[in-house]
Amino acid sequence: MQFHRENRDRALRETRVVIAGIGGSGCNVMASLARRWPDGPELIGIHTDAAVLSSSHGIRPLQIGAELLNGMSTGGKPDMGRRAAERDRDEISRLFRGSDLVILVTGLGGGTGTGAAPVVAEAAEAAGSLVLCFVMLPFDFEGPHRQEQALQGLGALKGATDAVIQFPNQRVLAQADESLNVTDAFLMADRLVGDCVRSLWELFNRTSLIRLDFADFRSLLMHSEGACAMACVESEGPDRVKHAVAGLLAAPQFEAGAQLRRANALLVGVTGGPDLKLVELQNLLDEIREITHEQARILMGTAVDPDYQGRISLSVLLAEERPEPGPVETPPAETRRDTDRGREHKRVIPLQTTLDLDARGIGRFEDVSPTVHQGANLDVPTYVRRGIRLGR
Amino acid sequence: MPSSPIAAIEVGTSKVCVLVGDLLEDDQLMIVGQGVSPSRGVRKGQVTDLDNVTSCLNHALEQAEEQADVTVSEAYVVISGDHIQSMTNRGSVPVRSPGGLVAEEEVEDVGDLARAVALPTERAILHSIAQRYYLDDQHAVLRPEGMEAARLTLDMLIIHCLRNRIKNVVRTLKEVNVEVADIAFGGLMSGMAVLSPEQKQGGAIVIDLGGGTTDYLVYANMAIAAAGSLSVGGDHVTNDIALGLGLPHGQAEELKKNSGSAVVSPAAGSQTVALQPEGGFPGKNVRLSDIQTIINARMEETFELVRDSILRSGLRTEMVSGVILTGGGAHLEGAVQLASEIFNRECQIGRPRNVNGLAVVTEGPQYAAPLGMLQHAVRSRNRGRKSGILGALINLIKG
Repeated sequence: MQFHRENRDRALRETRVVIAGIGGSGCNVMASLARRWPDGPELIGIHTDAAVLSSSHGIRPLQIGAELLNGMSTGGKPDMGRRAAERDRDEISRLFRGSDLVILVTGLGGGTGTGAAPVVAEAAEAAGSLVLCFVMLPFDFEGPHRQEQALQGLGALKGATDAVIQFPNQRVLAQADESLNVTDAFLMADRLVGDCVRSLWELFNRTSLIRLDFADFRSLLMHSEGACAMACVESEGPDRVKHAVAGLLAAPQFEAGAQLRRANALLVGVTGGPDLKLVELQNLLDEIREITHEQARILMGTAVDPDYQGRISLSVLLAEERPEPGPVETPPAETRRDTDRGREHKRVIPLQTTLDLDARGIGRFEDVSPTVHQGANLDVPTYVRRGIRLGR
Repeated sequence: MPSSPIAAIEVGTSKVCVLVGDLLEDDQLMIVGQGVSPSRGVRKGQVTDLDNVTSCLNHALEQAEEQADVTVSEAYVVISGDHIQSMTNRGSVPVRSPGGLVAEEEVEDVGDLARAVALPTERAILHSIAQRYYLDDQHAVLRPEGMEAARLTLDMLIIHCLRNRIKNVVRTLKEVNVEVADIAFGGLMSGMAVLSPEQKQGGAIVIDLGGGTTDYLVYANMAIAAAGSLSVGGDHVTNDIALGLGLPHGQAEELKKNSGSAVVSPAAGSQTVALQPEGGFPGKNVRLSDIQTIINARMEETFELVRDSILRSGLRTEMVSGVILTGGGAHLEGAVQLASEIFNRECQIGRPRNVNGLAVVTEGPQYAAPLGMLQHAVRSRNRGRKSGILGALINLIKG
């Protein structure tokens, strides 16, 4: 591998994004996205079913488990999906070589998505990429069996990805027109997910007013509980910011704004045309701050795409941040004397005044998780814990 | 086979080190390039600030590449930290081959069984190392092929670690466009670099005193008996001095290096050390006995923790004839004396063996881990296969 020295620094080169759909739903989302995004990046479809792959236009197909299934579907069996992916692991790994961010899309409940997606995600992680998976959970009418399989698949995926972004299809349906038929319901779900994928890609690949820092994005996801939700809305006209925020509050993915209010971390992405103004971004951010709670961390990125002249697309990814591991309770110097009753009791003297500079007494280890051994915080100087007196 | 140099990297708490080396015909490792940069952004062996680490890595890579006149695009990496633990697992298979002689297939089968440990999902096997085979649960042998038995049993040392940490290593290296060829435990690699055949024969404990971590390896009964790591290291010694004497970190580090000792000497008496004013630091006189007392407490505790950890894994210090110190902390005055008191064994500083080339690297115990890694990587490549120790993780990394 050859490269120029300047490219050593990741920040100086483009973020390389790979997008792939897995299984029937994943391929449908890719095909629907390809139709609406003719000049977009390469979209990959991974499936066992050769017929579905050949009818999904505009995507790069990767058939898996050909030996095992002869190009047929898995018949809804996740185990077959997993085996199919494992057999073609090398091919799958090749897709992700050199990537920084891998965006996967799949539907859980069936065979290929449920079984193969965790294997695909593992291969992507092994390439050192940040891995995000958009997951569509079954509609209620698909039956309890698929629901159950979906939940199992979800568990496996969470272990193999940095973030799983859930789209419970039923929730999407709940807000839709009652006259919506089954086909339309699926199409609508595909579109919702596809829009989110596209907006993420654009944040990393379009010129922008505010560049989304990949390292920040990664840290947001890596500190998240892995429970994420995302919604994407579009609006136009002079009041487009207000409308976009209203749309966000109505988005079924966010439980009518409830999730927005309790999220700990948010990625706010805005795609607009060359007419996008900084003051609009400021207003937008202010409005979102109004909704979210005070401590919520907000990360913003923008993309400018000439297609968006006169309108904006607002996408928000929510993450519930994992609380940092709490500091181990180190008794303050004064009380230590009372609690440390033991054979060395008499040797204990008031601690040096210099320790007051650092209430926890651990100096440079404040920012890292403590080294705890049998209840003792080893970051605290040994002579302090052992009550050894200096200056004699 | 035309050989090309191989790179080993250690992203440590005190330094980031890149070594480029190749194997000479007489099995000697030749170091042709080295890059060392003081480490920023690593605490207790764990990356806490990726940007800082990236710039240190770039710096070290550039030095090593220039010296060796190569481009490093792939490297072997050593890791450390108290998430690394070891256990022994036993596997057993009946011998079915004709004549009751153990065949290669059965050796493979028993290896697979002994390797099959149930770890929590967040953990992964870093190394699986065959310790010894038993024929009919009685006779211990190192190579069972062709021997007669009804049952073949194997004790396997499993060194396991947090899966996340591996991923983070791969990601960190990716930031500087270096692919990870394999990952190994630093304590294991430094042990293998410094142990002489005689020391292996007699049994030894190798303790790698690093900046953020203290790694250990126990070699007993001609096998690697245990290994582990504590997230306590030289950084803690410096921090203790800084807090205890009210000094900035930099001054405390200098004081440790120039006047520090792991044992308290009666001669220190009321001697003082004068620290010169520098930058915003106004200068200060500190008592030598205080410095020694602080360091002694920390080092004594560290050695005791290693000893207790070894005892807990069911081994006894009587099983080894000596203790070998390596890593940057081995330079600390009095460390050898203190270790020999606590382990009640002969103690000495271990230096990497069978290495030639750039002098700074080959003489210092502080490079034992990356040197050991390099030796293993080069040897296993030249033999055209993964050695027994490396390669366990390669599948996890490569997918």
